Amino acid sequence: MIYKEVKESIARRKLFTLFIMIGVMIFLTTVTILIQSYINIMQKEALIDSFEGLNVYQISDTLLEDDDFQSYLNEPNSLERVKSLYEYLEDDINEKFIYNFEQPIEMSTDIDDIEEEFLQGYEEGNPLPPAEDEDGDLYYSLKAVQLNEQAFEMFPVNLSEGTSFTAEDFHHANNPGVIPILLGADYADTYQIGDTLHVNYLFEEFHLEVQGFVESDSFVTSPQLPETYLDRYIIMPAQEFEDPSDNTEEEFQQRHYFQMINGAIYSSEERNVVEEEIESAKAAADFPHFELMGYSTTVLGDFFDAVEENIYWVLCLSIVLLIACSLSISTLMIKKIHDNYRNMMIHLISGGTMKSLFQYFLAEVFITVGIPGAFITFLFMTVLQDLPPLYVLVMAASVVGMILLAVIPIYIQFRRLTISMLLKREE
Amino acid sequence: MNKVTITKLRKNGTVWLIMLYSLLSIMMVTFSLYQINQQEVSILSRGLYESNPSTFTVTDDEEPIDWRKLNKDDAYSIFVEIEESYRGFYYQEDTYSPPMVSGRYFEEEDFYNDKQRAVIGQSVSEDELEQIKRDGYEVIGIMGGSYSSPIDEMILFNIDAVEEGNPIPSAVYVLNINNGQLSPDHLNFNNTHISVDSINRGDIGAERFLGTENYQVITGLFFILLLFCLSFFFIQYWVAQRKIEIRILWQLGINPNKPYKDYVVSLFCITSFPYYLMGLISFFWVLQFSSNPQHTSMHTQNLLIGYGLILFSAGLSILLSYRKSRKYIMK
Repeated sequence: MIYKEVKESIARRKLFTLFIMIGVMIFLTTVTILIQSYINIMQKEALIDSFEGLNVYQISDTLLEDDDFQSYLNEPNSLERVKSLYEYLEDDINEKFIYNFEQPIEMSTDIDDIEEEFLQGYEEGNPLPPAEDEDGDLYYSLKAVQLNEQAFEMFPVNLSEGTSFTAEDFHHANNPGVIPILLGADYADTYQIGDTLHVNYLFEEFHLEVQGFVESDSFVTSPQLPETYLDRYIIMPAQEFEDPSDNTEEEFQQRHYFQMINGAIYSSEERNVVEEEIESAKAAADFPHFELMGYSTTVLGDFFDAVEENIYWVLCLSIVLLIACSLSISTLMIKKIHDNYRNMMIHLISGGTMKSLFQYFLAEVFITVGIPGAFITFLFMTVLQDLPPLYVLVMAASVVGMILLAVIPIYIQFRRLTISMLLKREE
Repeated sequence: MNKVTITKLRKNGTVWLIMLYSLLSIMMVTFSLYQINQQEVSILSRGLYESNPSTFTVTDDEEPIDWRKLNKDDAYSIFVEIEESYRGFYYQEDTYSPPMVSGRYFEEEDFYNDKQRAVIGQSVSEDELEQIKRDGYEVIGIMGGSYSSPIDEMILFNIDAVEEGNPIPSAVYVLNINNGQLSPDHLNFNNTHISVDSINRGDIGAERFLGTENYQVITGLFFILLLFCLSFFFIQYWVAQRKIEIRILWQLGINPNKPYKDYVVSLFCITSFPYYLMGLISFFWVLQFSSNPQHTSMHTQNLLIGYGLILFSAGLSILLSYRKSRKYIMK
């Protein structure tokens, strides 16, 4: 009975029912887009969550003059002590030690095989010219970044295909002469997983095996370079080496390890606590030429602030939209119902009650708002597959909100009215 | 206004309509503020570069360049990267002006006038500031927003002071120009060409990481659609209430043109009054609380576009109702 009444009421004013339904659908679609926008920002923020509230302290060796450096190298066990310092920083220090360095690798290649964007210095307008070796081969410098295990875990570097680095990949003895690498997204057309690159790294030859590609727009950060997008980079795990077998290898390891200890400490502690940790490291490794540099900076401050601004404005717009549109659509609904009062008088004359009248109106509101609401919700849940339960909650709340905003004023009016007032058109 | 008039207005839908249009006006104001602030985050996170600027080095760096003579009809801004946070800057006609903590941003008179002017970011150290002053630069303003961004560490000089006519060898130039992406191999200079090497840097800054810009575009499109449709529907309702009145007048011999003309006038007042009110309130709010003087002009522009949209949708709605009622009457 109610259903028949509602169907007739809707059919009588098809156009206006359609208006309300279209309005509800566009409104809920806009809300869906805003929710997706919010989810996207939160997902991105989760990637850099581990950095929040941390300060970064740059650490460096103090052997800046070449004479000091050479005289240190002449000391007994000089290489072992530097190695020991690195191992302490990697394994024993109570803070996060991040080694993130952009040492380009040299590759002998035909320039036609490699795009200019991959060359070191390209973005600065200064792609490094190739170096020629004694055989006349040209070596091009490609952008590369070396990350220690903690850096790799901490930065939002996710794979789009292939296998990630394991702990073994950071110890060169497990696969001498070979370093597994990941490539930035822009390399996808040039290389495949399993390809091998023959390169020079710090004047030592290595084979680099491609074992995966990282997602586009992955990035790493360091105090010197706050944001480096990895799309055009070769990503290498920072290698720890066994004792060198000859002088050439020893010199290579000296260059390598002196580079590796110049990393950064990421910590929520005060500077004096971090300084104490560094002193412990120096003592344990018997390497005194090392210090915390300058002042600390907040990590990724710009990024976190951008996240906050974006979230704030998405929420502002969403709240205003939810309130304004719900009120508007409910008002249209109420007006439509008011227009129906006269038609409903027939029911009152034929013995209907105010209660049943109210039920007709309630049903009409439910159908006019509820059906498009349910339709839109199910549509987007099918099309966009990773929507969280939050989405259904917000959609349901919006629909219920609109229904309540329409029904409550009508209910209040009904309580005030008597049948006779309605018949006398005194509403 | 006595009680009878108020009841009358309520019954004939005027009060409803004013309330509905007030809600639409609030929506438009909020959207404008959203759009202005998102645009600011976008450009500040790129260090004042547009999302797809032209980046290049000048191949022939011995010829003097006067950037005023860049042969473009549009407004443009050009930066030259001298060192890490130091840049030379020039703009013609119009540029995005960042939020300022104190002082002012560059104006046209600062360029090619034998001046040495600098604008620095709010986090630039005292030492650097002293050094700039010692080099003969006058600091005219300090820029910075309420949130941290790359501009906080930046130091801008007028380009003629750093170049002194000749382009800086191997320096990277970044050109913001309004009519989309250019990939120049050369730039037009009053009928002479300067050959350049383009660099494709890809996007930079927090917005690249967040990837929110596509969402902003789609949100904008749907918002406009929503505003249009709601305004259209409101007017349809309002006119439908007057259907009987029009029929009666027609039967009395009065052409529907007359009441419709009155409706157009009433509707114009009903839609405009809340919009002007919300517009004015928000305008003064932006004037008072925004750290960026450019926001008031951007907000005004958005409000005008929104007003046009509302009037267009209302006008279309009433036109369609008019045609429908004429067709019905002619039957």
